Amino acid sequence: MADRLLNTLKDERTRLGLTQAELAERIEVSRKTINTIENGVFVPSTILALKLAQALDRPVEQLFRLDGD
Amino acid sequence: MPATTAEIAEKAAWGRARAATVLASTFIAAQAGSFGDDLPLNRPQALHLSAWVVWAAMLMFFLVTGGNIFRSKRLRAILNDESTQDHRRRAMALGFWGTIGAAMFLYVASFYEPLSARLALRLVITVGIAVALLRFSVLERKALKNG
Repeated sequence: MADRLLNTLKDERTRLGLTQAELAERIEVSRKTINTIENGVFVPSTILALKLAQALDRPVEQLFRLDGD
Repeated sequence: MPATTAEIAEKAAWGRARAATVLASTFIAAQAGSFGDDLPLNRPQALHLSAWVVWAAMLMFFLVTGGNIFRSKRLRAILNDESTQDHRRRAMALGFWGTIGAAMFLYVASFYEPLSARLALRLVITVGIAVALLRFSVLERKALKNG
């Protein structure tokens, strides 16, 4: 079975009171990239995942995990 | 209040997704109206068919670069970020399969109907480019929704 990547991006983003557009602006990507990551449609690269973790002030392992972990 | 870079990028991304659909549809429709033109060339026909090559090349350029070439470097980087690059790769992969499928279909058809090389190549290229553009448009639109 293919591995699935789960994330808490939406929860962490709303914790900080950010919209998708605001978070996108912080890490210089498009809003649709944030949208597709949150919906589990798009798997970000390591670099992008680290940028998200930095922007949300969370360890990357707290933002992303494999299904079944 | 002036628009933020994110807002401009959002608007440009929507415009690009819609443009991809329109460009692909127009390209297909134009081919349908000119398939009978594949005759021994005189000068006006040569110009007409050469214009098609330029058109096809411009659509490929649009697909590969994402357009918006006169925008700032920062905005272009946002417009061509990771998810867009992923969509582009998937679109071009489907365009490849469309090209192969069209070529195989025409190969079989050539046993039943005479087909000039020029016509067959135009059909194959049209399918390849149109499929890629439409797929890109669909992927981008889906990603832009649900925001």
